[in-house]
Amino acid sequence: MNSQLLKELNLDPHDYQEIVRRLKKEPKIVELGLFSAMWSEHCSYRSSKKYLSQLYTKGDQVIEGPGENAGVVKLTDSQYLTFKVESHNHPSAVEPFQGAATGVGGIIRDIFTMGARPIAGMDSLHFDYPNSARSRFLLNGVVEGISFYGNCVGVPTIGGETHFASCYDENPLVNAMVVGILDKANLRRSIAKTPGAKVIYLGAKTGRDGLHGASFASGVLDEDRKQRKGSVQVGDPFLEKLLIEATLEIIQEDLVEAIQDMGAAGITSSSVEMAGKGELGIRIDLDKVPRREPGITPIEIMLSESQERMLLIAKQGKESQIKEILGKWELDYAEIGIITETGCIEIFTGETCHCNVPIQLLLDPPENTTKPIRNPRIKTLVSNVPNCVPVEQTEAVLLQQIKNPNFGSKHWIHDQYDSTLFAGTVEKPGLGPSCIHIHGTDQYVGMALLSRGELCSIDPYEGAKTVCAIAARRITSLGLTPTAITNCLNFGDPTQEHTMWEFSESIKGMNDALSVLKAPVVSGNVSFYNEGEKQRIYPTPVIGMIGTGSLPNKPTLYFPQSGLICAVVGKTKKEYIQTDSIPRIDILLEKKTQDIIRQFILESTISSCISIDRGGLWYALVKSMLPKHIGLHIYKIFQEFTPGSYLLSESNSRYLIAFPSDHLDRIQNHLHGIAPLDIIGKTIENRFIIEGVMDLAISTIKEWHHQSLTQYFE
Amino acid sequence: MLKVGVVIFPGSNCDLDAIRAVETVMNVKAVPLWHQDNTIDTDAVILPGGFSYGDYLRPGAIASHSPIMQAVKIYASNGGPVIGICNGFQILTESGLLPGTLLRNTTTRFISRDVSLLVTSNQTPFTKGFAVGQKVTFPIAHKDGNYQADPSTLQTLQENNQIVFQYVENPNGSLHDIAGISNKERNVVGLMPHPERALSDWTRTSDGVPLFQSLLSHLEAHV
Repeated sequence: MNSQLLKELNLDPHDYQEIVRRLKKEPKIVELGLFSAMWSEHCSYRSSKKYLSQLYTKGDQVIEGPGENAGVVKLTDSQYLTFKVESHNHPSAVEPFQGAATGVGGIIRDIFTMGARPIAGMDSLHFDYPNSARSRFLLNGVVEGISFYGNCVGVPTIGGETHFASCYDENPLVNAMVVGILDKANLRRSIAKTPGAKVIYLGAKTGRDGLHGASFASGVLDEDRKQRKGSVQVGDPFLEKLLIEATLEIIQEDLVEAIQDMGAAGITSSSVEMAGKGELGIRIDLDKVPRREPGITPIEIMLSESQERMLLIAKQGKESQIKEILGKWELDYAEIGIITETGCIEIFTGETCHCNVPIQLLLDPPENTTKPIRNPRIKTLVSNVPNCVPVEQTEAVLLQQIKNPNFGSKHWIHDQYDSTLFAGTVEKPGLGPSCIHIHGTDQYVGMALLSRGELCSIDPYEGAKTVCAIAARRITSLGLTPTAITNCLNFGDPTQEHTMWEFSESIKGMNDALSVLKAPVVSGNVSFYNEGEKQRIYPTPVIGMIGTGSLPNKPTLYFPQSGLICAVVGKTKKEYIQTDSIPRIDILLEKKTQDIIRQFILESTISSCISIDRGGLWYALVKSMLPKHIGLHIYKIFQEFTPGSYLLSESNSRYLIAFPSDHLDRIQNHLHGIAPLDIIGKTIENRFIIEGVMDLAISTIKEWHHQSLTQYFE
Repeated sequence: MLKVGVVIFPGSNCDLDAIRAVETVMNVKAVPLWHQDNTIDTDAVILPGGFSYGDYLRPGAIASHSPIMQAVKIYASNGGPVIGICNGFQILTESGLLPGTLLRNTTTRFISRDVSLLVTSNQTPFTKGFAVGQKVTFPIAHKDGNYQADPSTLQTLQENNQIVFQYVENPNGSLHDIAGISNKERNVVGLMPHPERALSDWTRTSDGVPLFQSLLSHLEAHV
């Protein structure tokens, strides 16, 4: 076999030998193309499968766990929620605008494919510090791409996170999460059921864009790959909007037995997976596939990742109704194939057979057997923010921190996203968790999407566990109960033992947290090969948690008024990510504290509540004070801490709460024996005062906070 | 029984919110009007926001040539109340039902935030329930909301009291801080901010409620 072709397909020579061995013949070129796509890390999870199978995935609330296009959980007796997070890191590194835009488009398709209307999105973004020109180029492009696609397609982007660290210079991370809502009866899966059923293609015509996208994402980003802009797809949110409406109408009318979007590896993965899950076969006639340009070859059609395309399997006799709905939305309709009993995928143009291979072979690649072993020579990279702040430097250090793009305002980003569409968004982005009201019910859905790459690079087990705990803490601060999570596991090269060590430790950490928090994993995505020629990223598992519940009062994350007692719930220790004593997590304590805090909120015992996590108490205070210009007078004695070192401690399982003084006894009684209540001061109008140390106007804090990104872009 | 039509173009995405506003605030039936319909038998018409026809060419440009807009023109000329929100406003200016045009924001970026507005006319069916000079907060979410018109058009708007809403702090470069206007007859109103997203204090502001209540009392008095 031509080694140039193997290289082009990113197919390992050992895999090629294995294919020949299993097929007992030399594969045809299209067959080889299918193997290259389906055996790519991106489609096959060949390095991660055995770890993922250990994940905590069960719970009464789970309707559909990992394996479908997105996970599904119960909201009420008649409605479900579906959600998932996905990465689009490699495309965004090469072409940030289209990379991010099509990332959003892809995750939205995963949601409406399940029969759900997408109602809210969040993004987790990681870049190098914005003082680098490349970082600004990437950040600007990614934000514009998300804004362009999300706003037009009509899915509000209601929050997320943006982090900066030099390890993301070559490989930025762009992870997008979307939540959808569906009536129970509309849930659809991607499992073919009936031989003879027609396979219908809808949406955009197939072009050469995104060729080899799956294999592109399954290798280290070297110079050669960076030149491969052709591997990046181009998005059309208007077409996707039509697809959403048409698909939901088709599902509402009960016209399909299975449906899947064409994501990575396009027609190949959608047809192979739907037929494969039903243990059936599929026959595709390539002449019927709508094409954007003449001369496109069979292998190109099969591997194209042109966007905004869906593949569905019609209920028999319903084809004309489907065609009618597509006509109404001015979308292409093409019957491109049929479900068969052969167990094989057969691909034809006219009478010419380009491919005939057993589907189960495509779905069963040899596993990556790299052992997870820690390489002590790999040093962790940590930034050098001071952890012990001399009293006289308190003000300077605190102000400097909130001007830092990692901790300051992200309004420059959020203002470019439509966050209020559907009129259910409870708070504007920027406070940590986001929350939407489900119209027509008393139900609220909280969303938290976050990571702690730096902590995971020091200790991937503790880091992953902490990320899950923080997500649940943020959901709790809304008064809601954690329901389930989705994860996007961003790691380096899986053929390296150290990467697999980081990966397996992270999985263990997640499991140990989630099984206590009762938040199973219902969907997710693994992104390996996040390495450039010079650098590898922090191991960055991103957790997207949703929580649900009904609420008696509007959740209040920030100080609503002056005259309230302000206190820290939980023990503050000298724990800082930059030192030897990193913040550790006691997950049982975390859970117990969450349950009490939730009760406080639901019983209106406290007036505001926000989780203390990244950036410590100081960052929680900034978020609490700025929205209504209600400040704080701190009269606490800091004892073994300096004020700054107390405010910047990142100890876990803590909340900042404010409450009327007559509720103090009740709060103390409930917390007794579980978590200490550390009263720090009283809320006041317009100022932030630490008795004898500093006195600042809230407007000054706001000004510093506001500049964190605008200083680079305006 | 009263009915309010909500026009749906391919790419409209605030249609569900407009329908919900009509049904929950006005307690009136909302009737979807498809872009290819050419008749209207409702008591008022809402052109909702979104990206009709993907904003191809210019926002609102293609929608203005749709069959339903020919019907809306006739409907408006007969005095029917019509409101265009965001992309709906853009469609109204492209259709010639309202003067002026909406250009790209001076920041060149999409702007999504809550803005404070001054109500400057309560002479329209949609603003009767507000006091002139009253401040209200609605969200904005647009990239092309920069209202511009030639000097004589602005003068006419001012003389006829056709400016309905003004921004307290101009976010997008609009001439004379204009956020919303009416036609001379006052039955057609267009605005960039989203009153249909401001219906509950739980979702930050309920300042949009009087707009739909105004329409309801207008319809009850006139139909």
